[in-house]
Amino acid sequence: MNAVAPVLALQGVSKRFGPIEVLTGVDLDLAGGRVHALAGENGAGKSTVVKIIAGIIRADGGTLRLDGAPVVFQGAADARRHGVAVVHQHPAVFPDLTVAENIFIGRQPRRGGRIDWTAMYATAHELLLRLRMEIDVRLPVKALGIAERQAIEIVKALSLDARVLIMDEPTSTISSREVDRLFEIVATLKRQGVAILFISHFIDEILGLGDDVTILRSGRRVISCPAASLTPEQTVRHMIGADPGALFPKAAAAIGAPVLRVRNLSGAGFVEDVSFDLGAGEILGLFGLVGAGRSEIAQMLFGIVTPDRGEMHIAGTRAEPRSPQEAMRLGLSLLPEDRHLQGLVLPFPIRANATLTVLRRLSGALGLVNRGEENALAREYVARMRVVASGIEQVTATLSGGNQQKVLLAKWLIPAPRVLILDQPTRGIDVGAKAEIHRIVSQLAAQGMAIILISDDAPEVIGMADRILVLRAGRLVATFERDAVDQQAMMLAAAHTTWDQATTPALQATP
Amino acid sequence: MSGLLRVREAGLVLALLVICAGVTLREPRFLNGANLEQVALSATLVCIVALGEALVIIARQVDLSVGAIVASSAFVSADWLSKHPGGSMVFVFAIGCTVGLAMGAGNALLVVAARIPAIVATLGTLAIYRGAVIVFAGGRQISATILPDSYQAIAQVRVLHVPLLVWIAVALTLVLGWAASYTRTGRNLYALGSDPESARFVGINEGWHLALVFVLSGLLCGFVGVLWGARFGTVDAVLAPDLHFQAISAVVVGGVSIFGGSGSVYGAAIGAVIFAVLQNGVQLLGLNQFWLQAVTGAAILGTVILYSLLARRAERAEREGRRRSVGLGLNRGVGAG
Ligand SMILES: Nc1ncnc2c1ncn2[C@@H]1O[C@H](COP(=O)(O)OP(=O)(O)OP(=O)(O)O)[C@@H](O)[C@H]1O
Ligand SMILES: [Mg+2]
Repeated sequence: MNAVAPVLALQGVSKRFGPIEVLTGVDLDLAGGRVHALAGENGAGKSTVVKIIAGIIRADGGTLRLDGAPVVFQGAADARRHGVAVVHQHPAVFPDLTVAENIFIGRQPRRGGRIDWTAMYATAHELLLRLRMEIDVRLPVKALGIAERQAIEIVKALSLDARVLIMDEPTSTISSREVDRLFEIVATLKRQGVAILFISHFIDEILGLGDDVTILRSGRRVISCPAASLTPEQTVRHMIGADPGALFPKAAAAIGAPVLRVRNLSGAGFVEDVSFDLGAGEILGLFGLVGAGRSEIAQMLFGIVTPDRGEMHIAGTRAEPRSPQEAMRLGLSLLPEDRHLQGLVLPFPIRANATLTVLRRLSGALGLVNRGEENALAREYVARMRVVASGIEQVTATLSGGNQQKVLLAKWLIPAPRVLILDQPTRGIDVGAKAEIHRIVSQLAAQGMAIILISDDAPEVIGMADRILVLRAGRLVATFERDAVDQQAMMLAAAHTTWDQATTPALQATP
Repeated sequence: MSGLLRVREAGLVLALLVICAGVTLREPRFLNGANLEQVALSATLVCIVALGEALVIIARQVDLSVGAIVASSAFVSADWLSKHPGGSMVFVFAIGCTVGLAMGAGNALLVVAARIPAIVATLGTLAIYRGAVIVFAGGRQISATILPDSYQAIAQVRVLHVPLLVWIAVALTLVLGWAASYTRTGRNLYALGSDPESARFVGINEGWHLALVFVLSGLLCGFVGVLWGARFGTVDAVLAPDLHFQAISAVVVGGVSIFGGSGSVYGAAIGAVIFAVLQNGVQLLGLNQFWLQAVTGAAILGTVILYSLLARRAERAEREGRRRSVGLGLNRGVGAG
């Protein structure tokens, strides 16, 4: 990998936040025409590396070299001027501005000194099509979900025609169709000689897309080598410094009486006639492309969105939650898809976020919270989830993305609901913690909790679920039992068009 | 640029027309040429201040010191003119604008350099600027009699039968409205107001843009200070005591989100006109001034509730419209690919 002079190089870069050293002497070379994959556990320091390269935070020590010459970027605009484009882990979008303007903010096309809105809308539309995303470019971004926001972040960076492209977990929220397309685009950019840094928690992406791999652990570089010389097992071992637990260990659990019964659920604009039963101890997988309606179903069940039609019964009694509070009283919990928008109070410490759902239970006669019990509970779950933090009082906003997700999961597991809805629970979570979460979820099912698992990760759904419902454009299109799933058929059911439905024999059509 | 915005401004104009019609029905003198001119003149002054305030609020800030700046500019420039009766009007404006610019820069310094939240910073300068001009005035009042005629003439000049002041306000509204939607700097203000954290990630220079809006707001207030003196003839240190209230009311009723990021300068201008008409209506109908305050308060709360209802409906419609297009797009995308 030293054959080519690096376009961008980090040498001995260090960074500390207060007393915590987040990066220690990290070296990283990005060569033109090569993809460098950066891997590591949640909190290993990957995003910190990205923010240093992007000019958003300043390193405390070490140098950043561009074409061999040391540079210090004065802010994101300066990095961009030097040809560095960045896809951040949390899309940096403006909710009130349109999709098109978010892509072009600060560099809107102009004609005769004025912003050419028509050209901007047209170009934005084309750029999104390159990623096969059809989003109305005139919509304000606040009308969009997390996957579309990430697509905007990606398109924005791709359209910069940069020499260095940095992507921090670009594939964590978009669906497999867009991921495929993104990889095609990355291959093209590689041929054009762009130097690419790629971060992901998916081992197959790290080894498949990366030419070189660097693994960070606790802010230090553990190894840097060609991807071809690493096996998946070695990669994971380098990341967590130990052998990983088995993924997807869904233990056999007796499926009990139906706890949740849903009939003809319709609403949220496009969900139509969704019916299913969920038994105690059962894990029901909901699979589909982004925009298939999975999260909307979850939101209707949890009282966030009022359905237009349909019924829901919990343990035999009709339930019509009109708010999340009501849904929680009925024994439902929802781990939402977008932790920034729906899940966490970022300025709060970890403890306060984790115990938010059970404050009433923790408080005594006077409404005062029993801090001892609260701390114990928070500590227990922080440990179980392996949250990397200085302690339960660390402000949630300063956690790494994956660790925020773990806190969110703790928050919804702590109340021990009857029906637990998990919307993308392992998105952005490192392998070790992912195995841990799978183990916890499986354990909860064995104890009789009824679980709905929404995920884009096909192997995860297949490994964990007792039954899988596939949704497309708001309708239930196929059902697979645990022992009869076929990943290919499931993906096809999720993506294919109405006209080739009849030609897919592997499908069992839902009655 | 978005359909919603256009609809919102059309709605505001409609509301304005309804209010005018209502007042006219009870008191036909409202349509009297001289009366309309008075309404227009009082609207212009608040309007120009509201333009600056709108940009400040769009950037998720607030400027409470506008009234104090207008008073300072008015008094200092009139004071100079009273001592140099032969002085050029250009100079009077230059003095007023400089005072406004300096005070706006003071606000910018506190917010950007000292990182004091705007609501606190400008609450402070509101008192400091007002205090300073009161001390400077030392209880004096500069009356029209000791000022040259050319001073008051500023407010009386007409172009095509319409006071020049009105033309100036219209021109400023159009220019700033245009700049807000057709320049990158203008759009950056919306971005900044919408999500300051994201602004840092895309490289929008927050400090520079915030300084710009405060300085611009100060400058507009400085300019208005001279017009204020010219219109009312007599200038003292306590004029425009609740201008910040009027300006923010106009901005909010005009549809600018108090949380920044959305709304338009045009809306704020129309909002200023609406309040001028309401004020005039209350006077014409001989109602107690209390009614003006009650009506103003009701107008603010009513429009804010209306806007949030409309926004929620629009958001739902957008979500559903988007879902349909995604559903179709899915078929097209896979069919083609
Ligand atoms: N502003 C901050 N203040 C204090 N600590 C911070 C701050 N930003 C990041 N950290 C800490 O730095 C460490 C590294 O965070 P970073 O976001 O780089 O991790 P990461 O490798 O990207 O993890 P993930 O896979 O979860 O995204 C974390 O332990 C985090 O808590
Ligand atoms: Mg990260």
